[in-house]
Amino acid sequence: MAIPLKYNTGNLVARRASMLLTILGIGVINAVMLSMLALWHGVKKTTIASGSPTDLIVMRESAETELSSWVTREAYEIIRTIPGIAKATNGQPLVSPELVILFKLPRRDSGNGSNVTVRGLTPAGLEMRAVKVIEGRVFKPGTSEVLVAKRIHDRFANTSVGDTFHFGTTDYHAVGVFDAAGTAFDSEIWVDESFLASARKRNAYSTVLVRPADAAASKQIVDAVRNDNRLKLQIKTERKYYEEQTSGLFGIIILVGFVTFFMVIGAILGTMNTMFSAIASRTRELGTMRALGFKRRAILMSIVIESALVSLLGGVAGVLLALPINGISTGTTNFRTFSEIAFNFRVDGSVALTGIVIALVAGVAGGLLPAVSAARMPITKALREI
Amino acid sequence: MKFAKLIRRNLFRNKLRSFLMIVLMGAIFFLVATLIQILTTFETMGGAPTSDRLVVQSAFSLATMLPYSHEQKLRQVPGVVEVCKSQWLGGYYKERRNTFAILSLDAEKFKTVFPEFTISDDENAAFIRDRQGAIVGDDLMKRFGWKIGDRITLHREIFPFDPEVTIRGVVHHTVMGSVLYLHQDYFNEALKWNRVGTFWVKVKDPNQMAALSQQIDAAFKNSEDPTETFTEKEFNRQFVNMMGNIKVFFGAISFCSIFMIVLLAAITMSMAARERVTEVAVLKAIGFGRGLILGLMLTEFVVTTLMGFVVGVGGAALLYRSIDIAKWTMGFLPNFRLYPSTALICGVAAIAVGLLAGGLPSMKSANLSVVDGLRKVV
Repeated sequence: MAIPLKYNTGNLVARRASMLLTILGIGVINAVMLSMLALWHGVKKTTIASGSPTDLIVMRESAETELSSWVTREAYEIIRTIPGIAKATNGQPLVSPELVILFKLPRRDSGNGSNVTVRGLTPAGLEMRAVKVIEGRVFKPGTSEVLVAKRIHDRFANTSVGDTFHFGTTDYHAVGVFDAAGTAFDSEIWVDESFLASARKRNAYSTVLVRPADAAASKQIVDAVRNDNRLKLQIKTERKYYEEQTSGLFGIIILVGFVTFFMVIGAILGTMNTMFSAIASRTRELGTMRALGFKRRAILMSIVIESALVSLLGGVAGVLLALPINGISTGTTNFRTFSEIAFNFRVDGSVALTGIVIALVAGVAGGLLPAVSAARMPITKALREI
Repeated sequence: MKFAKLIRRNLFRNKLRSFLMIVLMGAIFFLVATLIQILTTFETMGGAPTSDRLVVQSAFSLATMLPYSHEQKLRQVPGVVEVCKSQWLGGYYKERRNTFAILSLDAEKFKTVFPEFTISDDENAAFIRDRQGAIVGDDLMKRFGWKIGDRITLHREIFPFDPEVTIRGVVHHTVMGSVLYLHQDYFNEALKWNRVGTFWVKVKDPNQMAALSQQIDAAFKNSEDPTETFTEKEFNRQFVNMMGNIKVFFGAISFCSIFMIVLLAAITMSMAARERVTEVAVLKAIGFGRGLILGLMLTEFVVTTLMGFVVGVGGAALLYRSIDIAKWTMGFLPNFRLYPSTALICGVAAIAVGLLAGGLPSMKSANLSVVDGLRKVV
């Protein structure tokens, strides 16, 4: 027969002072771990989720990033005529030649310069990358007007609507702020392609983005680009491109893994220690229960359940402690491109659930050893303990 | 120290509990020491003793390259002794995880501009002679088991160019042991760009660096490729800035970790105090003073946390001494070592944890009334 759950909850209440400390301790561990997961989640959201799974990106054969890629204007004309490309509302093919350049701009807080990705787009590109303009309006073609991502606007000086910032020998005028729903485009400034090309004296595009009409057409377009000997270009889905970009963020990946690892160890050892103490103080009680006829297995289960319960409460406390960091915006540099990417800590349901599950697993793992030692105790010896 | 034995016996009266406590402390101090050390390493980065160098890069961004023609103009600036072009190539050997620092530079100027690297004259001359030659840091030579004369192919990271080089010499440096230099000419021949990422400028008078860097930037202000000139330290610092607010971030993690062990240690320590109430009452009955009891217990708790500190920080120091973590960080943090200052901070934190967590239980024990203590059955 199993020991009723009430025995465990009763124990938690009876030892409330040390239990509260444990729950708080595990809560703090869990909060640190959650903030790591939230960081990683935010980074993943800005990178991997940025790319459309269907749109195709065309780049120079050996280029690994947009910044080190170029596509000539002739190649663009060839790509435009490939059959199977979706049509825009005005009947033109949905092909977006893009010019991507880094601008070093001063941050709002420190004035230190950091590299911001500036993307030159044509009207087709704007149509393909549907973002929400939350303030002001879109830039007019052929002008020095720019559209600034909200997160860049928050972090960089002179990027509010009506402001002018200077780069090279050119002035740029911010006319709008956009929100790209947490994707990589939230770390960019958008400007008219032809204006940017003349300002920065570029006569080639960086990349060309193509929207296929359907899945079959997508394969056709990929084959057409790969088999065209004149082009010497690579083509892949935009999502795949952004997935590859995460390798430039290895610092964050290592940090998240490293800290999470230690937090899990901390949670396991912490629970183990508390549970050993919890058992030590009621040896006689456990001996009595054995004498009453409860099986060793029942004792074992009961202790593990109690441990899991404490960890679960700790896990929940951790989620509560970690909630305030949700939405905090921060930034780092992608060391593959040296460009700034901004991202938010994201504590959403999946992060919270992962945290609670890890806490629970750590609780069971940490409770196992004390439970075994409690279950193994000889009845006579346990009863003799004072 | 006649009480040493008493403390020692109490420390290990519950071996399992002490062991768990010490392992937990060890794990957390390992983490905290590592985080603090990473911060310290960044803080001190680029503080080279021979800081008579300025770094000239494009004012637009590090990814923008400057034309070769800038070199002539730089030489004309009074106070400039030597100018060495250098380009960060990135890349790896065979597999992506073998990423390390690969740079190109003007071979014949290497010894003049970077005198803190030691290399034998013969090897340096051999490097200068062979356009496809390379010089390699001693750590890298060891890591891949390379020998002088080996021909190796490196895999590209940034530029469409896989360098094939012959190792002509070994360079030694106190921290930069994982670096490979090849000829700027070889790189330029392959790409024909006549542009380079940075110019390293050796100056005559290190006191004039600030004025000189302004002078250089002024000279190129109206060119198509304006420059931004940094001291070497500022140049290195910008990479740290790029990472964002890691100081706050690491600080928060460390603080939470320490706070967490205070909580968990408090539980263990109050447990340890509670189970010897009778004992303490006996000690008091035979004449041990309040202060003595308090001192004995606090010493015991602080010794426990210090043991955790020794396990964690000592373990970290040994680990980072014996392995090259740059292997796992794609060339980042080469020659990572624990500084004494980091150990000191962690040691102070360990003592604080012991006092904070053990304070209340020890005080309770010290203030225990003898009658109550003897009556109590735990």
